[in-house]
Amino acid sequence: MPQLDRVIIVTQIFWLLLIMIVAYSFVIKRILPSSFRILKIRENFIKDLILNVEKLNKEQNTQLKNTIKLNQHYINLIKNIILVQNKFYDEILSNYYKIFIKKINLKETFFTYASFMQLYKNLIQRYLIN
Amino acid sequence: MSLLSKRIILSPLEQFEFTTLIPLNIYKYNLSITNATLFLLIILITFLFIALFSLKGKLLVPNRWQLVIEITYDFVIIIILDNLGHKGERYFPIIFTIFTILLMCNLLGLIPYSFTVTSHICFTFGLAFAIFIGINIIGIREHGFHFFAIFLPKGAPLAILPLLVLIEFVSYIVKVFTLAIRLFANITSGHTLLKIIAGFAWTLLTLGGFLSLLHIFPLLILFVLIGLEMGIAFLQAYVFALLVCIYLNDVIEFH
Repeated sequence: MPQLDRVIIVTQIFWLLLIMIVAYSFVIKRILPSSFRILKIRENFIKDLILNVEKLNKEQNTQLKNTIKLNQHYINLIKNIILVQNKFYDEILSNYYKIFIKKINLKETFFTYASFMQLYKNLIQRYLIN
Repeated sequence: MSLLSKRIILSPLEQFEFTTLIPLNIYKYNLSITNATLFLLIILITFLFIALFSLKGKLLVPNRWQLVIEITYDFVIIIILDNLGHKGERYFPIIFTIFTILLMCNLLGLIPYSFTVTSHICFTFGLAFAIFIGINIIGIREHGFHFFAIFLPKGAPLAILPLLVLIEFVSYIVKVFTLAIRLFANITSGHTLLKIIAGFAWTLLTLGGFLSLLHIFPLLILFVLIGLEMGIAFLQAYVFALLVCIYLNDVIEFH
């Protein structure tokens, strides 16, 4: 095998070490600083972006909560309005009843006795039979 | 043609032979520039040019050339962070250099009629031995005299302690040989196999007649094997860097 030739060992190792040292110094001086700088800048850029996104998310969440609160408030307001309206209608209705009763000259008591209609009927029937 | 085929069949190891290009003697040492040196220089120049060319713009959104360096950077830093943690970041440049140079050596050797530098035991052993010395220096600097406790497993009974120390010592020394021989043997065997199959295809082609059509099968096998060799070329560079990290970790923090 030509690999086991002893004559070339010194020259091979000498050139190997020389070239490795040159490559190493080049890596240290040129490649790593610039690539590290680029990667650092990119990392910071991405970190900034992530921070911005988080900030926007928080803002969105607070906005959403505010809108939900506002919606609840308006729903309650509408419910109250409807309740007040109902009361108002009830009042108007009862007023109408009163006016109606006055107009047809019926006593209010008639309505109180209206529940005893059956009793009256029975009485009238009995009277007619007798 | 027959002469060529004979030459190929007779010496699949011929591709590993050194030829002196520029003889150079300093004192009594032979430092002549051989074809291995030439290929190392080619690799160095390619490496420098790729790096300079790709880092020229320093773009925030990388172009494809810049991505080459950045992917390698990420790959190596992941190896280091997995095995050494954050205190291994100071050894990043040497691991990066070893990985890239070995990867380029292995890949350049796959080009036909080129020379594979890593298929030489003197190259791999020189590299591994230099790393071994470096690792020892790092270990002694980290722990001082306590560094020799690496040969002494914790909680071992006193009776078998001499034997254990011997075994630990041998296993510690053997690391450098495994590191060197793994790379050398893998690359050499792969290239020899490629050469043998290529020679076989060539012989079939030169037979003439119907048999010469059969040379397509060894060529197909060769095609598949070159894909495998590319995988091995990458894997061996990765394994070398990984094992250097593991040996560093053994030395930096032990029981």
